[in-house]
Amino acid sequence: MVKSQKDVFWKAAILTIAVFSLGMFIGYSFERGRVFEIEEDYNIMKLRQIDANLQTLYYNNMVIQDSKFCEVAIDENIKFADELYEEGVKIERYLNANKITKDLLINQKEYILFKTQFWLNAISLKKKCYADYVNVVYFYKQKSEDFDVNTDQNVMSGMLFEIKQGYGPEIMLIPLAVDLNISTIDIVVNQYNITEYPALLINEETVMQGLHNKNEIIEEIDKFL
Amino acid sequence: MYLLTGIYLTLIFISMYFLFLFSLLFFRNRKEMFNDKKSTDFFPRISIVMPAYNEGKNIGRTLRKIRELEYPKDKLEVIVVDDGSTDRTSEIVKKFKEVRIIRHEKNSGYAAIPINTGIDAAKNEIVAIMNADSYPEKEALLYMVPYFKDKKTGAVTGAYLAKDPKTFLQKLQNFEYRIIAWNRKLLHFLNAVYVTPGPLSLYRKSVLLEVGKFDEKNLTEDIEIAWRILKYNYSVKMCLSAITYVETPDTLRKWWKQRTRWNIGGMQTLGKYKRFMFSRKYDMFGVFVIPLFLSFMIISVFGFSVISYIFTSKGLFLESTIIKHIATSSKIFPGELNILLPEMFVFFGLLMLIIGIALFYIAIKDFNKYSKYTKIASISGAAYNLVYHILFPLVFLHSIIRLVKKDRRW
Repeated sequence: MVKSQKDVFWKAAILTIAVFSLGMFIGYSFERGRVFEIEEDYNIMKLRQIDANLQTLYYNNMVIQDSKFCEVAIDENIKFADELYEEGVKIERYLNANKITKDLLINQKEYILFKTQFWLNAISLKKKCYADYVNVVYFYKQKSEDFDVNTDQNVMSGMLFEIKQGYGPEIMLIPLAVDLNISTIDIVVNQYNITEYPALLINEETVMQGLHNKNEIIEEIDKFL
Repeated sequence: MYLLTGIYLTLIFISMYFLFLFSLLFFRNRKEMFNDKKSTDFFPRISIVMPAYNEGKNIGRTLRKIRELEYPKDKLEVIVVDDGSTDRTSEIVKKFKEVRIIRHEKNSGYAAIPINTGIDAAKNEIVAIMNADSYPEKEALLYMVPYFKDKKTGAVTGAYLAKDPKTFLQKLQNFEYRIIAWNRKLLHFLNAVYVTPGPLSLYRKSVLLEVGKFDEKNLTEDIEIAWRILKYNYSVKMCLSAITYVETPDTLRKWWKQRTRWNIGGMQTLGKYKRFMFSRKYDMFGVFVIPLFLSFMIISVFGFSVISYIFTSKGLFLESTIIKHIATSSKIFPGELNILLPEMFVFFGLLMLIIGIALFYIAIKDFNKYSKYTKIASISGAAYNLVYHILFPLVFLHSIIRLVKKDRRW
């Protein structure tokens, strides 16, 4: 009786290996799928970014006669800012979910560089076109081990999204991770003496460090509108 | 994070293996699960040995149940070993003239000592060890004895169900005991039944003497003796048709005490036999029983730890986020409440849960079909899995602490 039943051991092993491998494959496929999705978005964003750079070069080197140019340029930049922001949120969520592949980290760095460049574009465009939107730069730590910092940042992300929904095109929201070894951001952080996270830089003038009440943030933004 | 992922996937792999192993065993042997034959012409002489310590409340009822057993009375002897009781146990037993009573003047503190006294006094080749608060069905012995026709059979055990479950905890235990019996029957097909519980188990006396009788210092002597019997290459059989009803703890405190004892005894036994692990010389005992026992302990502790860590950290994060949203007068977006993205942890967890619940459901359906078992609702499985299971790793961790502190009070 016993001898005839011992085959269940290797049959169970084969079944386990098959199902486990299938599960790993499905999990890996999910993760790769996310990476491909982000890479595809990235290619589109890259072209948009080149376009935005060309625009900046254009209005830096040309005398702008037609005010319509500014309207179009500002509109395009606001749309681009919103897309960059949503893409950043997507990457963060996927990074937290992916357990095998961490390829998204590279994409994330590239997006941060995009956003930094975009921010500088936004400053130039403001000056050239006398635009009245407010730049809100949100500094956060991508790899913090601190529970309070992580929950504060989680809340701040949601809060800024809510504020952005309220203000629409009147604010440009630019989230920048400060711990990905991007030297430009290190320079900005040092210049504004930012030591606590999350932090906001409003219109390149006002710094708010740590988690603040939504109404306090709105108050500071309103000073520039 | 990679370390946590690695631990989790290892546990999943091991758990999945055992789940598929038991599933294959079950579907292959489904017809045999309840196919025990009642003896019609084979009635070996049996000595029923009952250790008793302050069992005045139950022993009378148990001895009356023994009288009701459908087994030739001239083939039965009953021996009660009173292990220094300070209540009316001896007085009550003396009222049963057919029962022989042996009295220890002082309580030994261990269940195995009075059992060994009873074994020494037993006149017959088959020795039935029975607890003083066990209530066997009339046909229990008739279903168990046929297994002794096989000369390699060293012991036979039966199914134990909760007697009159009243509290929610007792009802959960009633469900649990069926699952235990079901699991044990599956192990029967592999000659890997690793325990012969105290409520009612039958042994071949010559085998007991050969292996050295019960370990007098072990808190779970019923696990230890079964392992020793297997190690000596005898088989231990499981009979689902031999039902014995047992008293179950009605409060969490009593339950916790019982399970702590079981866990400490189990770990003692594992410690004693660990050097035989993976030894092919001892066939299923070395290659399967010991690793199985160890795996269950590891999965219990590590699995619980990993899942607790994941859910606690996500839960705390969510709680803190909600509090801070309120403090900052900001809106909580539904997306923030989604802590379960489709990721591997979730996929494997769900798969195991679905297979486990399906298997439980089929097992309970089979029990409900078999007339000897009273029907229970399959929904009990949900309470069992979601509520009861959480307690096991907690009591196990407590048992480890007591073992490390060498606190073996029972």
